Formats: sequence, C-alpha cells, structure tokens
Amino acid sequence: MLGKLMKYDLKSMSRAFIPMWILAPVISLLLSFSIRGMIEWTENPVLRRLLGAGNSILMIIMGLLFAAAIIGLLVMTIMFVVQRFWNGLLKEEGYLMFTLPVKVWELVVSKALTATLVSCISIVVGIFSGMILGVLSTNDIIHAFAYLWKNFLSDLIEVGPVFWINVLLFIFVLILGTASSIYHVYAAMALGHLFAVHKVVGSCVSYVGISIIVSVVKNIMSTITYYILPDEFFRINSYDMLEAASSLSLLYMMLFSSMEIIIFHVITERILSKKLNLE
Amino acid sequence: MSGMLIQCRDVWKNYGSKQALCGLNLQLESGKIVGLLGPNGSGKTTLIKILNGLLTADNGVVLVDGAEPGVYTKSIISYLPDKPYFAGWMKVSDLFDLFEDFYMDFDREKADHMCKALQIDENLRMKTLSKGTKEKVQLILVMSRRAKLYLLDEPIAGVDPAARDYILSTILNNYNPEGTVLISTHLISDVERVLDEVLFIQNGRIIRQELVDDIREKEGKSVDELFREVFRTIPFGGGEW
Repeated sequence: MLGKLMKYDLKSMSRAFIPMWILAPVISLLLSFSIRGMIEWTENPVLRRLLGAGNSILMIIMGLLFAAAIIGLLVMTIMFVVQRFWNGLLKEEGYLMFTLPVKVWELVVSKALTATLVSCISIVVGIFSGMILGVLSTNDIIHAFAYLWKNFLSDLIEVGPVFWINVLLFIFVLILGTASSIYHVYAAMALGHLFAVHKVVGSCVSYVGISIIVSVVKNIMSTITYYILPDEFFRINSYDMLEAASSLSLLYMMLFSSMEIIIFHVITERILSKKLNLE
Repeated sequence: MSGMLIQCRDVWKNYGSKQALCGLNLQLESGKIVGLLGPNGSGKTTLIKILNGLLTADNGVVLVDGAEPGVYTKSIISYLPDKPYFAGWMKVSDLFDLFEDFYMDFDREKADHMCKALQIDENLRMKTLSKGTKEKVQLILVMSRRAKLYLLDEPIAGVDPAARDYILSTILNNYNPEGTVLISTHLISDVERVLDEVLFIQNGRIIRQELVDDIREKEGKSVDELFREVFRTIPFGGGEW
C-alpha cells in the first residue's frame, strides 16, 4: 500500500516541480550566456575605461541573481512540503486519505519519503544550475578553482578510499538532514492540529518549541561527547586522523538525524492515529 | 459477536467546551436503509466521522462489523462526505484509478458506465468541474463500491428537488443489498420513501430508533410528521405555526 500511496504523492508533487527542475538550469544557461556577453563587452578597453568597475558590478549582480534563484527554489520546496501535508492530510483532502484502508504510518511515511526525494532533487538541481551559471559565465571561476586545487587543496586532501567514504557519508548526512527537517515540520503541524482553534499558530509555536528542545538536546549531547572522547581526538596532527575524525563526526550527525526522524515520526503518527480531528 | 454491523456504547465527543456526542448508544443491523435524522448541530456528522475514523471519540466503544475504526473498517465503509474532498489537479479518471488501487470492492466498469450515463468526461480535472458535477462524481465513487456500510452525510442537501430524486434513485439502484446505508439528513420528506428504519438524534444522543413501517402502523403518522412533533420548538414570540 505504501508504494501505491507514494505513486499518488509523487504524482501530485512532480506536477509542480518538474517544470521548475527543467526551467532552473535553462534559465541559468541563458543567464550565463548573457553575462558572458556582457563581461566580454566590458572587457573592450575603450568601454572598460568608460564603465570603470563594470566587471565586478556584474559579478555582484550575477551572485545576487544566483542567490535569489536558489532561495526561490528552496522557499518553493519548503512551501510545497508544508502545503502537501497540511492540505493533503489535515484539510478536506484528508477526508479522502484518512478513509483509505491504509495505516496512518503509511500515509506519513509516503508523504515524508516523497517530500525528501523532491527536496533532494531540488537541491541537486539548484547546485547544478549554480554550476552552470558559474562555469559558463566566465572562465575565471574554473581557473580560480584549478589554481586553488593545484596550490593548496591537493596538498591538504588525499583522495583515497576514506575520502570517498566520507563523501558518501556526507551525502547521507544531507539526505537524512533533509528528511529530519521535513519531519520536524510534520511533527509541528501534527501538534498544531491538537489545538482546538488557531491551528496554524499552534503549528508555528510547536515548530519553535521543538527547535528549542532539539538545540538543548544537541548541546547536552555535544558536552557529553566532549568529555567521553579521548583528548587525542581533539589534537589532530595527521591527515589520517583528520579523515577518521571527519568520518566519526559524520556518523554522529547521521545518528542524530536518524533519532530526530524516529522521534518526529512517532509524534506525528501517534497524534494522527489517536487524536485525529478532521472537523 | 452479536452480528450487529454498528455498535456504539456510551460514546462521548467534545469540541473544546461544546459537547457533540453525549453518551450515544446505537446498534444497527446489516441490510437496511437507515435515516439518521436530526436538526442542525445534533451530532449527525460527528457520529458519521467517528464511525469512519476521521474523528476519534473521547470515550466509549465504537465497533463496525466487530472491529474498532481502522484499516479493516475503512475497507468496508463507503463514505460520502458533506463537502468535496478532491485535489483540484486530479482528473476524474485519476480518482477512479485511486479507488481501484485501494478498494477491492470498487467496480470500475460501473463507475465508467455511470460517468457515461451522466455525460461526465473522465479526462476533465476536478477543479474545472461545476459544484453539481463534483457532487455527482463523488456519488459515483461511493456507489460504485460494494461496501458493507455506506455512510452518506447529507447527500441531498443543497441540490434542487429533481437532483434529489436522481441522487436517491442512484443510491437505491446501486447499493449493496447485503450492506447497510446510513443517510444523514434533515430533509425528511424527500428520503422517507426509501427508508426502512430511522434514528432520531438530538443533543448528541439517539432518542428514538424505529422501523418506518412501525411508525406508520402504530402512530398513524409519516416520519416527517413524527420528526416535526419530536423536534418542535416554540417559535420566537410564542404560539404555534
């Protein structure tokens, strides 16, 4: 049943996102060409003298445009995640979803998995669009990175198996982090649903409340970890130790996000199972 | 097991400080068309939503075919809500697909046939349909299932008399005769002719449960007359109507 539910959730989410995923890199591509053209234009010595610092202004404009595009993509993703849960389960559409012969956890997990997938794709599309914009607008960025790699990074980073394991762990941390952020919003909305009136306000208050609790727990855990770990852990003096410490930190973050996901899921599922009130 | 389809014992439900159900008791058998009759705010919708699991009772026992509201009861209940529950982007055919995927008792052929008879294009999106057509689609979905229990919340409220006749005949011609149909309404005279049994609900309690034939024979009244008698309120300023 979970697969069937996901089929419908994916269908409803992809309708809005697929055009955006196609549009974002296309816009970046067009933008990069026009920026490249403008840069070349300003590189004309006569015009350059007339325009003065035109090039750097263009770079700033480009940066701002890129930031705006990424923020837009993120805001839309977040709004959509919230709206699909709120309208899809807690408003009229919930009448349909909660009368289907499926378990409540399946409804929640289906929403969470599709939202995580959509968010991750949006992030990848955002990064990809940014790369197109950066790389194609001007060759300077590629040159700068090549210079940085050759002169600094290649000495610092050893690309061995542990490096790739860490890259993989980092990707898992990002995915789990995205899922736990989504579940955080779900748990807040489920708690808001318990309010007799002003459910939206209740959800916002719950969101802040949960954030405070999470940060307190995080601080306590960090303090405990600090005392538990041997002192050598904090005196990194070799690349191998740095890699090992990175792996451990990434594993720790994965564990923390997984715990958040489980707790938020249980809160959401229990409330919607035991206290559902679609008035 | 008593063989009852619906059993409610001492069911309570509050919305904040407002009491919607106050110790409601009810037993209902299979194979009947039952009217859930009561004035506005008497608890009709609350009872229906508790039976299908959209609301949870604060207290009491609710059993449908011997089970508490859950996956099993949802698989045997066909529910017509009092307002449309569709996502606007869905096509009529998407909804049929969804019902086919989740309900084993959904008869796709019947649904397609009813759609054709009503000249509804299955490729249209729900948001483009008129209010009346949306209600028809909802009725098609609900009545294309061979359910054990049909919960119809105000199916004829807000439509003209000709449409009422159409809705009632659709229900009569398509329900599963082994199942029970529970119709909530306050438009008694329209539904009276199709009912086997009536439940009068007031202030969150079932105050009368009787067979329609008994009312006619023993009391010599129609259900509509009895309803007006039971729920009569003195008009503002006093006097009789």
